[in-house]
Amino acid sequence: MIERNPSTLKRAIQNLPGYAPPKSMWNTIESEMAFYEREAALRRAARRLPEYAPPPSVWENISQEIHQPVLRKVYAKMRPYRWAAAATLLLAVYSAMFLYEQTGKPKIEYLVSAETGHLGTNASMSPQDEEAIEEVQALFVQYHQQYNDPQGHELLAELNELNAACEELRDVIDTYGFDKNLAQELTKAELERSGVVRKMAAVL
Amino acid sequence: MIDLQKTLLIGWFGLLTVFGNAQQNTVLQVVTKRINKEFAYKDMYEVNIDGDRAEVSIETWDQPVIRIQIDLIAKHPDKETAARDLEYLQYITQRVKNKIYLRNYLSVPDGQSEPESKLKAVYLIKVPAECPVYLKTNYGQADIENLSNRLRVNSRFSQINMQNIRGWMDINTFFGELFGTKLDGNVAITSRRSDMTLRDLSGRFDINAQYGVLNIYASSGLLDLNLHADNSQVFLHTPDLAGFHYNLIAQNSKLQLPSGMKFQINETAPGIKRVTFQPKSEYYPNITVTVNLGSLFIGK
Repeated sequence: MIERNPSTLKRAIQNLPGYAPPKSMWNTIESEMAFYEREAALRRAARRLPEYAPPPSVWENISQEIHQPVLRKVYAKMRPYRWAAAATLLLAVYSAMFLYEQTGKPKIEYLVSAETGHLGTNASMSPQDEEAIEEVQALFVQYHQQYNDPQGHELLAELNELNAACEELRDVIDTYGFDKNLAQELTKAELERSGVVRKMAAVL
Repeated sequence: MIDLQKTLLIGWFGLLTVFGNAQQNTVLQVVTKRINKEFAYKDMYEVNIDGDRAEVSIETWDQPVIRIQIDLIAKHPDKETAARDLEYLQYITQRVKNKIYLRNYLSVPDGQSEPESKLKAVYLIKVPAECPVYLKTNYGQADIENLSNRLRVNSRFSQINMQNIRGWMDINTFFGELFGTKLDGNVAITSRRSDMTLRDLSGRFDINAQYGVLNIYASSGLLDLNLHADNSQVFLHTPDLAGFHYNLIAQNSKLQLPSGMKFQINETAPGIKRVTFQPKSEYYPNITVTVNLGSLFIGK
């Protein structure tokens, strides 16, 4: 390519600003060159040093270390972190137990066997007896209202409590089936109820 | 006026109608649903049991674990019926914060017929001795052994058996029976229409009872007994009769005291007797009993 305006180009180049590196740059270059010279001298000296073969036991030790299981090597590397790892493991186990408690389903099994027995009788009461108690209670309420006997108030409260207890026990026996202990408890309550009703009847 | 015949009839109705005719034995199929679960125990966890028609057994062991076995049982001559009715028995085993809830209950779905089988639940619970326990039981039975911290019982129509219990106890029983042996601690008992037999008692006892027969056997470790009983028969036995301080009040009640001891007896009002006895020793346990419309026996 031919420059068409060489004089203009030369003038422009002459007008460009000039730059010089700082003096510290030359110092740095000198110190680096000196370093490489010293390094080269050391390398030369090292090459002149005599060589010795290591004893066989050294190679045996190295060989054993090379053939150790990877896990032991990992363990050795991780040794400084063993407490942290143990704590993490403990936390994980605890969390797992907590989650198991909260969400873990209990173990369930079904068993089937047979035994000799009976379903028992129901605990219903004869309507005549119920009517008789209601009749006595009604008459006693009238009597109590007329004479306002304080002892009568206690008897009525007692009868109400026993009525409720007997009814509850009958319901339970009807629902869950006959049970000797519950039946005895019902008999006891019925006897007490009979006693209260007799006391009421005696004052009428 | 009620006629005599009707009055007599009422006297007999309980015995004649409760049981009816005895049924003949047959082969019952027993279907059991067994639930096993464990909870890790931490200090102050409380086991909270709500048993309905349940037999509950609470034992202790030396492991920091609460182990639970619940048997839900249905019995019927027909196995299919027993299996169907068994599914009506529901249960809960759940920990909420520091409380472990165990519960069984009957739930018959809408439109289903009532159960025909004999149904019940059986709990076998193992806890560390220091584990607090709260037991609520209806129409069942409970056997509780060797606890040493806090025991609360709320029972209705149930029999409660307690053996070798220490610590703080709060027992409430309605229409039932209470048996306790070797109880030691601060004990509060409220009972209504329940009988109780308590043996080998140490510590402090506060008992309030109505309509019951109470047999109480103190030991030399008894520190304090406060007993209030209405319409009840109280039998109080102490190993060293003269070693206790007595403060007794009998209101319209029969009183039977041991011979050979000099009690101070005052009739403070018609039908009300106040009896005191001061032992010779400098330190002594106190026995304070008030009986109203009942009887009180004191002896060995």
